[in-house]
Amino acid sequence: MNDFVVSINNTKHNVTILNETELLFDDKKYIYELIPVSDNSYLLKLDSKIFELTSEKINTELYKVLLKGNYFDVTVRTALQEKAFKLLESSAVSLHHHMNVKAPMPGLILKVRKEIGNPVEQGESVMILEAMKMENDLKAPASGVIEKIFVSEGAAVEKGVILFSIG
Amino acid sequence: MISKILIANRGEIAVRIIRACKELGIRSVAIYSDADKTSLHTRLADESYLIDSSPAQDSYLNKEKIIKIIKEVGADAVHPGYGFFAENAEFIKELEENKITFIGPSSKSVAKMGSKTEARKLMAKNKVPIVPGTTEPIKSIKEGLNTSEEIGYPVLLKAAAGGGGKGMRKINSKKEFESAFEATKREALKAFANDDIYIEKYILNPRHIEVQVLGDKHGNYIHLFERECSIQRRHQKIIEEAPSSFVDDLTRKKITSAAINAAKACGYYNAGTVEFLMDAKKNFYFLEMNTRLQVEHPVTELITGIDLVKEQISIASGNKLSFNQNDLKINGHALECRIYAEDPANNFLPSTGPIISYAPPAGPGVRVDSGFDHGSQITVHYDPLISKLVCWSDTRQSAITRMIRSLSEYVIGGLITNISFLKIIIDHPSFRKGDFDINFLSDEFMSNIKTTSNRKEEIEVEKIAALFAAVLKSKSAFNNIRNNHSVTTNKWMEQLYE
Repeated sequence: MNDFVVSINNTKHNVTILNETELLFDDKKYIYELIPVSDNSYLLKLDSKIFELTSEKINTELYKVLLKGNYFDVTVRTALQEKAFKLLESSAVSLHHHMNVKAPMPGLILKVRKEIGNPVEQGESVMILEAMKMENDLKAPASGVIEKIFVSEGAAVEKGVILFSIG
Repeated sequence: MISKILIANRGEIAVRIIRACKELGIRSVAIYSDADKTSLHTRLADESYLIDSSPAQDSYLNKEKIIKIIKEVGADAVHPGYGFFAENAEFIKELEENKITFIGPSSKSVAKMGSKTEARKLMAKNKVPIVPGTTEPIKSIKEGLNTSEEIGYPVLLKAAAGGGGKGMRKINSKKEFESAFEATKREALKAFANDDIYIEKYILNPRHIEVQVLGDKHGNYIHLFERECSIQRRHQKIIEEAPSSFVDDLTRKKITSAAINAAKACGYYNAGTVEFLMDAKKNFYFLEMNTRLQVEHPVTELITGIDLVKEQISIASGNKLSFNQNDLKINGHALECRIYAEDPANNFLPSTGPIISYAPPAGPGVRVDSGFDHGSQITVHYDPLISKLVCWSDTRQSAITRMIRSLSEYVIGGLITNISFLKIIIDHPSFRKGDFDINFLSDEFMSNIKTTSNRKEEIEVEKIAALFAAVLKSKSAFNNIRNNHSVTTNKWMEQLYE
């Protein structure tokens, strides 16, 4: 429960929370203190240095973290979750399960390339979403069959709206 | 006397003008769109009026509605800031007809400088050097080919009504001419509703040097030295400084007197900027005159001690300039960084959303002109400029050190900003040496940044972010358990009391 695997910019780090004041980061011991300042702002004291951080929790494992003008997408999993993730990852190609694909940003559905019942390969383009005058290919996250399509061409969508599902 | 000013703008420049009004004891009126309810200018002004929905055409470019508000609230003057109506001769003329003071030049001066070919003609007549090329729109491909041959390739095709890098095309040789001619004409018609185009010699790797001028309504003119704005992305300035590290005393003398000639030539009053391109041999050529306050005006304010917005208001009231040329000297060095909500690693794609944490830098020699605060929304409707960070010090090197220090302190959460990108440029050996031109942020430079970004300091920052996220997750797991627990207890208690 207190062992975490953190992924940031394709690098993984191991963090073990020993107690309220001590932790191990890649086997090095630190004294820490987390001081919440407001909803999204924190001060983190590490040994003798205090850092100012801003954080947004995107979902149970993904955090957006701002530190010194740099934005990071940080994925935090417990050691157990990481094990499960790795298992899933290695069997992902053969995996067929129900999956909803959401709009990654607000925009306009420019093109719908597939119809309900069409088989798709992982990574195949299903829709084109136009946002900020740029065309974004929305790809199938897994192989399977298009189960449902919730939008039509020309529709304006908000971020996070479910666009299609693969089963 | 001006007693009430309506600011026909938004963001940091509206805030800047409101602050000047407050210090002068003048009532300030803000206008805003739906998207700007959370912006700073709306709450700082003495009065604020909603124009309409968010798109610029419905709000800050909604001429009828704005003029109606001006009349209704009894404002006797209008400050346009930059952009929107600042260089719109028609808007200014309408104010003139309604006896409302426009804090800027006359509609006539603006119209004279609005057409690039007209401006070039006027400058050539008044001993201001212009880039070799035509002063009339070119009528045929044949005429264009002859001119290009005469001045030598490469040449630039430019829209006469253009600006901001739009409607511009480089031609390297004769065979590219015909298709480029037609494409530029189409683009000009689309962007500016006018397909007049002209030819200029392409100046190789120039620097962008501009001169700040002030003129009053009594025919007095002064200059406030030069600014250098060579660091640009997509033809838009992101870092500016005063004075330029490239301009020596003799060149300064020549370029500032050329700028004053330019202002006199169009009967200019108020604050204006004459922009030049300067080649490696320090030859300079007139580019255009901006008949308004510039985004980068603070660097001039910091080296001269003159408040340009207050001077603008004073000139508009009919006062004479309160100082002469001899009263002015360059004091120290100033740098400005434009803080944008955009992602430099992703082709400068704008980033939108609420600002969820905000802490600007401070301390000696640091000035932040911001239009937003914690809780403000940055939307897709307007330019993604959040603020301007300006640093002053006695030398250029110490101003650079101060800028790096200030950029490191600046916290803007919730959006991707260009802060760390600006830090890389300012700290670059070539920037420190003053060795750059307008092509500094080339594709090559941009791709080098991506590969060299794994610097020691950044890896350190990355590790701390990773560690922080783990601590945060462990705390939230703990809190969830506690919250769930208290919820169950409450339910149990409710049952008990039922």
